[in-house]
Amino acid sequence: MRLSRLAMSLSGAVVLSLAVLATVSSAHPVAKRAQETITIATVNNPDMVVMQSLTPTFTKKYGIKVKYVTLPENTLRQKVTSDIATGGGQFDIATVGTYEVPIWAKNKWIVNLDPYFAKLTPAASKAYSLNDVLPKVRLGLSYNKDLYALPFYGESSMTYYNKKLFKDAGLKMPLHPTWMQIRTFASKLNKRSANRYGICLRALPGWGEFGAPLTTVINTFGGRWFDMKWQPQLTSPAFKKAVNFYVDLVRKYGEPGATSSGFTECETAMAQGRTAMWVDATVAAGQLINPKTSKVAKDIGFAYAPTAVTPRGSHWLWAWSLTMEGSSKHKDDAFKFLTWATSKDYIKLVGAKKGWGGVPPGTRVSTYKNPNYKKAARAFESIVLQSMLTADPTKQTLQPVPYVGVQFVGIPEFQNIGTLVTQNLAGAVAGRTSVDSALNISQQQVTRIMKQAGYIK
Amino acid sequence: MTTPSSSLASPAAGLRPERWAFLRSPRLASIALLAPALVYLAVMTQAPFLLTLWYSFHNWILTSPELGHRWIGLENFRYTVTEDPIFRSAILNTLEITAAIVGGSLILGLCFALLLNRSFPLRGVARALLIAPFFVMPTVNAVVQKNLFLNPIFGLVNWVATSLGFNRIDWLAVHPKTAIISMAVWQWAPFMMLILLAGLQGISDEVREAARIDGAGPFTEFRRITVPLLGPYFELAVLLGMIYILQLFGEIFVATQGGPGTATTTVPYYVYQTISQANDVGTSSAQGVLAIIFSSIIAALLLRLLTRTFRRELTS
Amino acid sequence: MPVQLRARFSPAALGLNLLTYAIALFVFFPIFWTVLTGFKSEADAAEIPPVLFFHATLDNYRTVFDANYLSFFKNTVLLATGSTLLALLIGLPAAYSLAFHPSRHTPKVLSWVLSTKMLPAVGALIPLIVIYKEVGLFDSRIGMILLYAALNLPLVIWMMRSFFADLPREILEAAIVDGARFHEIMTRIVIPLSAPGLAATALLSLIFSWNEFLLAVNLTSANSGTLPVFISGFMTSEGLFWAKMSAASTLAVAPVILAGWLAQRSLVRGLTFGAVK
Repeated sequence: MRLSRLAMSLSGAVVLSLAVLATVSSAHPVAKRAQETITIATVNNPDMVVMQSLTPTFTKKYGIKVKYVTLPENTLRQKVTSDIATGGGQFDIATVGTYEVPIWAKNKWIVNLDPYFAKLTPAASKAYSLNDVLPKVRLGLSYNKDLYALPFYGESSMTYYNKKLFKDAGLKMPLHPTWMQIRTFASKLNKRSANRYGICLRALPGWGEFGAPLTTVINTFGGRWFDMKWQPQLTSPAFKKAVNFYVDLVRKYGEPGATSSGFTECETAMAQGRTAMWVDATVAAGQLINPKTSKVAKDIGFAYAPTAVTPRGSHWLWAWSLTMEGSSKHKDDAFKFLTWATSKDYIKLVGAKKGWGGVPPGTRVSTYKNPNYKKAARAFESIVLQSMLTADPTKQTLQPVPYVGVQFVGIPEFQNIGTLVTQNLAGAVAGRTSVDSALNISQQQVTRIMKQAGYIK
Repeated sequence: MTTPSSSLASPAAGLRPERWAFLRSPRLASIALLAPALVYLAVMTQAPFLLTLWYSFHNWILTSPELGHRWIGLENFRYTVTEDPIFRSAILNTLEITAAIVGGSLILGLCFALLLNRSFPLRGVARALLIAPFFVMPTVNAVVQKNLFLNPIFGLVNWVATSLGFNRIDWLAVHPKTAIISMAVWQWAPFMMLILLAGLQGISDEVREAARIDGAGPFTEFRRITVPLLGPYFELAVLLGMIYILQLFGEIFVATQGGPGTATTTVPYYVYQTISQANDVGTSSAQGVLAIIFSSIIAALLLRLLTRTFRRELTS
Repeated sequence: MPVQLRARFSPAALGLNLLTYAIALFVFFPIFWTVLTGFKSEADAAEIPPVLFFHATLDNYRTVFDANYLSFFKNTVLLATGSTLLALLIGLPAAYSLAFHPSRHTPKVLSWVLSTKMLPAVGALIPLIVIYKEVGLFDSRIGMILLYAALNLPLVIWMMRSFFADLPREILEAAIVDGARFHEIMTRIVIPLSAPGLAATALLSLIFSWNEFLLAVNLTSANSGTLPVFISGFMTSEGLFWAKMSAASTLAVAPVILAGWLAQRSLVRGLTFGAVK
């Protein structure tokens, strides 16, 4: 008797809870808006912040509302990847880089934009002027010759230095320095007792953090990640020499806390006058000469990224771009936003509202011909333009390689490989292990990953 | 766990009509009170768990959809347990870091609770200040401590240290575990304090007065009365705290990213790396399942240890 | 209430008081520093030696509000209070049952309840995303409330069971003999008597829901984002953000601290008024 009553009450409770759950879930309607809305996943880089603040202009022009989801870069990548791989539906547009675009295009996760450009009226096509977009950047955002994303802002890498510190020490920075010269300068300008350091270089673990400048150093020293048969080259002489050079430079004349230093920390050090040199992304230029964010705004000097054995791959190519997700239900609206945010008019809008020094750099040739921009950014704009024109993701190493990408390897596994290797090397930077042992372990790990993924037998 | 002492009479005993006689049974009443919670928990937590278990038997790489979902049986488990060196060191790191955080925050929490258990002017303010660290988001706490405090160039700690003549230390590179532990202890001591304070406030005044009359000084009172009576609260605090602290994530995510090398890679962080970096659903699910087994063992051992410690004190 | 020692200014008492104040200030210092940094410009925020006197600016707060802070704040308040109330609603009767009607199954039940918290959320991200998308709860406030309630339920059950078990049996027995019904016993006796424990439990549950990051990031999107997601959005790999993030964190922490502080005092006081003596 008791048992059946017990069973009755239990099942009653279960049914009740399930009923509540079902009602509740079906009672959650997707808000039907009178206006079309698109959702954009974005990082919070300064240029994107500007884009968000200028969105009302877009809405007024096209009548399309925009919702933003803002997250840190790695979290965003993970979230968008999980979303797409489980059916999508969250976002119409995502900000991605030149690393993701070819991989996601291959997976058919993002939309080929060529058909959309073909549908534009001749007037609209001329106004947008796709040919004005830097050719190497367009190359980096294509797969099988089709364009899959539009660049929002592009960057290469270059050398920043503190002119005042150089002058006080009687040194002069050449326009095209070599890494050996940089090392000499660093040794002369390093003053630990005064909390001032010769150079700041990233050593924050991450394929996109430590990995980016490190790979350019590897490239320019004549090394490469993989040979033509996809065998990892982490223990090859050139690779070892490059890594040893980098780690040694950071340990001897670089900033303390290197393993926690990414772009932000080094930029802060440079802007506070705590470091004499910094080799990193070109986008920092605008912030470093702005007195609101930099205490040494008047003393910043610019030079090309250092080279060693070969100029190939010595400076990187990256473009934060806007791409359309394949699962988007508002593709036409999304395309309108893509073309709006990357158009010449948008750049003019930013120039008018925020000043020409802060317009999205590195996307269009016309930006660099604009007299307003040339005036606001005259100290560095030619270096940036030249760097971006000469950073070739298909000719980035001394010896031939089977992959594209200057400061990364354009395979999906590199996210894991790059982070794993830089983690091991961060241990070397922190002095917990030697570079050689870190490289040996890394070589084993990378070989295993490449075997599992089917690149090598 | 309390020994099943005599149950209270059923609160439904007051219901009169004979039809509802069975409702008077204490067992049914007790089950009816308990059932909603258990059913709810089962529905909400077992569904994700079962799916995780399902995925752990497959190979699914998010960024390589052309490889598809492939059944590979126990291969993920086999690799993680027998071959993966990082997982093994992650287990050791987790044990070390969790024990240190639980222990440290418990001791600090007890000190804070004892200090707050008296009445003194501005007691409410002091309590509010001491609870505050727990309100801060772990990720924010980590960003603040990493940049504003522990940073070798800009941090306050090094500024104070060098002003006093000490060397500049790169905390996050040289003492990463200590840095993580100190961040987490700062955050969790209020948690322990809250539980222990609630327990302290439950110690009746008569007992304390009686002890005082008997001539017991503060230390004896602490040892003979406070600690034993707090026993169940220690148990609760340690057990609950451990369950949460085993899954510590935010601090490591922001401050050290598991490094340098793998010095602060714990099991939760390694699982996160597997899913977000290697995009490997199968392996991360297997690691998650193994984490459950690992946590259960720890919890069981801990319970046994606690029961033995406090039972002895309670009956002596 | 703790024993009221006679208000004598003994040196020991004074020393302890000062020690307590000192410790409290030391412990609170990082939060104070964060609040202060929120009013600095990004350049000042990184200044070394640290600046105590600086040109205060509200720019960071303006940026935070422009970034739609209020919408995230509203979501977080709904999620935290909703999930706490739900967890208490379901959990208090369960704790009652386990404390006052224990059986030989009680240890097993308690163990199982605790074990539901042992699967690291990181390991179940994809399964949760898949399930939530399937039942239509993805990126919804209801979905997050249900999930957080399930995450806090073990806390409620374990803690309240402990506090209930400590209550004096005689009062309860007397009430039952007097013919009191279950809900009367709960509201007039059990809850008022365990008020400090209930306040602590509710507060903890609230905080865990308020600060939860990983599941919030993955299961919410444009509609139901919470404050932890909002704050993390300020972290960028290519810009300065310490001051802005400090401002955002201050705005995220301040309401909880205020609410928690007020709630503790009035909750305890309010519940004890209804107690049956």
